[in-house]
Amino acid sequence: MNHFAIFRSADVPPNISSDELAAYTQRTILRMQQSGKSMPPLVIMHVSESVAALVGVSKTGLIRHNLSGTRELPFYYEIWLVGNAAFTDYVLALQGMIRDVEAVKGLSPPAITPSPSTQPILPDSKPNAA
Amino acid sequence: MSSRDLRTIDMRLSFSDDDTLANLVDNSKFSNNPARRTTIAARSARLLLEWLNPSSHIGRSEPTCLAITLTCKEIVEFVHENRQPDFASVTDRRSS
Repeated sequence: MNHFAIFRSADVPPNISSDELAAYTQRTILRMQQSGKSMPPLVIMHVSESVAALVGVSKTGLIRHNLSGTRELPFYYEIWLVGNAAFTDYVLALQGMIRDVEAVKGLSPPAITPSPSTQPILPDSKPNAA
Repeated sequence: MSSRDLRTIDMRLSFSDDDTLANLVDNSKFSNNPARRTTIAARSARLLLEWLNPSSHIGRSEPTCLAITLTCKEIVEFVHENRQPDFASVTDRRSS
């Protein structure tokens, strides 16, 4: 799977650009493809601290994963970057997501159920917004 | 959330007052076309679902990115629009 999306709030600090995130993600996907692996759909949410608080996200680097998918809502991951997140926060979160993809694949294939649910996964290191 | 084929929706923004296809009214963020009276957040959520659906990318082999910037209000609406009822019920898998 090659598709990913970046959603930003207009008030997010400009220290990470969508172009940077997109370029790094594309390179990562291509490297995975070259090694015979695939990336699930990914949504990068880059929001200000005020928006994060309103939607219940407390820290940068949070990864969410809908463990089951439906025809309408596919199996996908979310990575949240909050406020003054650094680019390294995204790199660590993406690495954490890839490790989780491999762990989930090692357990069982995704099931199709009518009620998707999500669970947060944190990268091994826990970078906070600078 | 109801689903709909986004390819039938003209997603372009209006830059002229006489554009009846997608003329966004100031502050209301609603199209003036009765067939598409929906918020930017709702349309973005549907666009995302369509984007993540593998069948929407026929013949594409390279990684493809959808990048959207929304206002604070719109992105909060977007999260609630995109999130299923049990989405907020979360646990920390790695720490458990």
